[in-house]
Amino acid sequence: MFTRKFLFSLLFIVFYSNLSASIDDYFPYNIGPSASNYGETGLIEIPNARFMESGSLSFNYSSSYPNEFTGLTASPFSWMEATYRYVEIKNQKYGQDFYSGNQTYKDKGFDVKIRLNKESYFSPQFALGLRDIAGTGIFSSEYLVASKSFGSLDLTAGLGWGVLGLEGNYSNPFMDFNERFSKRSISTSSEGGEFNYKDWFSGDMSLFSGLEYDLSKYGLRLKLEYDTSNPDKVLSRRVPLKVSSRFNIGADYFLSESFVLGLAFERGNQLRFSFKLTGNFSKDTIRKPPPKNVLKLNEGQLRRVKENKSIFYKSLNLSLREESIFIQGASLDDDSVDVAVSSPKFMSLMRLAGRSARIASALAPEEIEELNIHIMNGNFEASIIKLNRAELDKAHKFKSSSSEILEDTTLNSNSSNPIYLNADFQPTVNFPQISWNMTPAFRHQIGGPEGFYLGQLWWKTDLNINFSRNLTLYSTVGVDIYNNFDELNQPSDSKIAKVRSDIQEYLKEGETNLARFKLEYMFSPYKDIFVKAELGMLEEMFGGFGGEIYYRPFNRKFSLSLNAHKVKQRDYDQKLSFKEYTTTTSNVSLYYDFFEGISGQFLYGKYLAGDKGITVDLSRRFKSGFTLGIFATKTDLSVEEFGEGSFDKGFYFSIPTNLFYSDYRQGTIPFGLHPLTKDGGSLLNYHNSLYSLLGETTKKSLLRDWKDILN
Amino acid sequence: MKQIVLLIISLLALYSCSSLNNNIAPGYTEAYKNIKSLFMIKENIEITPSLIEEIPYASAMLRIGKAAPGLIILEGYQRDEQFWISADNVYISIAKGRVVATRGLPNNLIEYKSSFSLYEFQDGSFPKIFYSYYSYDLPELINLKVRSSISVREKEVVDLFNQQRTLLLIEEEISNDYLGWKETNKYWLDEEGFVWKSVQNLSPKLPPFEIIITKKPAK
Repeated sequence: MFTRKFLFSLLFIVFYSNLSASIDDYFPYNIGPSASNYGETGLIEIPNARFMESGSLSFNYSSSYPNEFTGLTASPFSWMEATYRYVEIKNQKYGQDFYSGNQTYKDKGFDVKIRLNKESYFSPQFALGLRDIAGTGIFSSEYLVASKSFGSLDLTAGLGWGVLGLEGNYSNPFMDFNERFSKRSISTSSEGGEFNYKDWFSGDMSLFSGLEYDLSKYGLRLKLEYDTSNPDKVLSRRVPLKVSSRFNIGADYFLSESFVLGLAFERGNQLRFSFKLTGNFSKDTIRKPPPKNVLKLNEGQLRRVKENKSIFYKSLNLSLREESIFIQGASLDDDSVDVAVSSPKFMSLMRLAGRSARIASALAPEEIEELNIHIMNGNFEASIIKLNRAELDKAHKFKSSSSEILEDTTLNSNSSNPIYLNADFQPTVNFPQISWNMTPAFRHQIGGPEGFYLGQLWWKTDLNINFSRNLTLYSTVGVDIYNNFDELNQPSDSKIAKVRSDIQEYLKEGETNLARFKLEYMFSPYKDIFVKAELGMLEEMFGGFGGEIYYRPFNRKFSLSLNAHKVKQRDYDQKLSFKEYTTTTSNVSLYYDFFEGISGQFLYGKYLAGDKGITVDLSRRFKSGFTLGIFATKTDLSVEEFGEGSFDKGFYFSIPTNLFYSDYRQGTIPFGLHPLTKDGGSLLNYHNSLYSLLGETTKKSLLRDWKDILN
Repeated sequence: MKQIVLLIISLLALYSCSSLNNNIAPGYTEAYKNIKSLFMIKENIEITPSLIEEIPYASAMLRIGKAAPGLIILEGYQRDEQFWISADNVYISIAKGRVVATRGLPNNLIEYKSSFSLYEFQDGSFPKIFYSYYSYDLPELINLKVRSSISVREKEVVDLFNQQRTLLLIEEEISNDYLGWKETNKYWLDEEGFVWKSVQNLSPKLPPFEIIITKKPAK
């Protein structure tokens, strides 16, 4: 009775609100959203209706007995959070001793939470969420939750089904609509990986609630919740626990905006420790150096430039180099100057174009009216930006703006006839050009029955030889330093061609390997059409030959790619020999830019194991370059043929390196995860895909970064 | 244990995937430099005493937090207020040794109100405790009430980059109980009450400002 009164009291209060004063923005500790044990924004066991800021990524760890949660949560939108999580269940074994020794059970899970409305003066914020939607279902729950803040107090109440609804303190209203909502198949899926949507919102329902109180002055958030997950209830695949109290209490300490420590007391008898590392990568918050000042030429110098163009080219070359911009060709005409540039420094092509144009304008004779910047990406001339010099100069004196420059600008491409081939000034390039780098690197196997983490420290050496602008030899050699792959003991039991599932053999026998050794030729035969041909050891598991044709209409939102390869499976030792398996793999992809930085890849083709199907890849790219994406592949294999996971899926993110530095630089920190290494739906690991080289060079991308032209 | 060590190193190794310029372990080298820069106070070797002498304007060294110190130049006056500007367009307004406004920073002090100035501190006629009002932008906050408690310390020899002077140290403990903001400002004054060096906390959202006057304004 007390419990019901408590819950209703909370619900009642939820419909009130207040205003928070702006002085709260000045607390020394910035208390933001905090994570539940499961990783999504929430209290301890229960979620709330709060969200991280759009473009945030957090790593969450929460340890107690018996459940230890480790997860990644991303917020691609301000209204959505997605979590991928491992749970170690310490009171259960992974399997029988002969299979996994003493290893405890590990469960993978995927959660999603969506905001239904924004909090207003009168109404709370509502969110709908699903937990463990494509895993084994041990923690599967659905919930509708509301949160309302009253200054430092945040109240949460919600309805939960599945594990969150186990207390069953209310009857499920959906039963009135359909009888199927009355029962939930609590028995969990052995294979996992399927969306058991028929069970969603079915079975017992509970009302859960909690409150959080911020002591901003001390960087503390206090939490109290009523837990309806009933850990003492007997379930399939769950060992019941002693519960002394349904109330959990906890506190989070915000050491900084990005690092939160947590301590909780659960079930009235168990302590929990947690931490959360978070970052918002949607914006670059570190100041970068402004463009370098270039002194305008005086009258005498300008006269000499007109008489001898080589002075202009040399000055241009020198000044551009100071900005780490490399001239690929230049032509000074009566009223225009064309400059082809490339740079390993700038991720934004408009920043590269703007800084190049600024320097060209400072050095060019007064008669020059048009500055044509030809942007090179790799060896392709990707786009041409025709700028009005007068407007650009005005903007540099704060008498015009980037928008006004745009009005007088033409954006175009002429990839098949790059200016560097016919330019008046062509820098001498001595082929062959050799480049190399070496670094420690890592390979890993996470979440297997032999051990949660198996890995290798590997010395990786890349050696590339450019024989011409178009022809390059790529090689990657890895030398083993240390690994614990000898613990791998689960040979593949795949029912189809073992194109990926022999990963353990590749890791064990290929400790020291030739990871890549391929010859690549790229060219653009027609405007906006790009071709790549390659031959050799294309990746760690396959060698052969093939290529890609990429059509990227400069002014459009879509592009098309056709890949075809004849490949043979490499031996496990990854030297120069092959196994018997040979196949032809090919696919066609449509890339489409939607809105808000959302892009999609829709691929249809024949995969490495001979199965045919489609891959859908959806990602969101933020202005900073931070990208979050998910993908899924469904082929003509049956669920039984595919095995655990039912179909291939995964997620990835990529953080631009320059977000961590005080100067501009290219490069990203990529991370991708396939929960399972399966044979079905496996593609070649495409190196230097043409979309990765040219996908960000379209008119749409240039316009997105247009403001960078002035800095 | 081996697994944990490998896991930790592997997380760091995400950096190895980035494409950077150096040949050997470029990602680690850059990451090391970056981490080092977070913890080390950066020195600016480009500013020399001779450079300061050559500049015909009054100048000061400004260091914000752990950033490299930069030179600021006196741009103009308005009554008691001096307007100083840095090369990257950060404006600092100083009145009687105290920073009273900033512009061009992620968070700015837009107004400082107090009935007491540092010049009055020396003769001991000022109140030991008084209140000031700070206003900010980004985010906007008007008249944050800050309590000040003043202590006059002893004279000490202070290195002013291009000279040494014996100056009186005055410490000002500022606090706002609601925010839990508590800092100590330090001012080094000469006999005329001119503040040659100071370390000032202007906002709960900004690191301390260290200002050393390298060339004194004419008035």
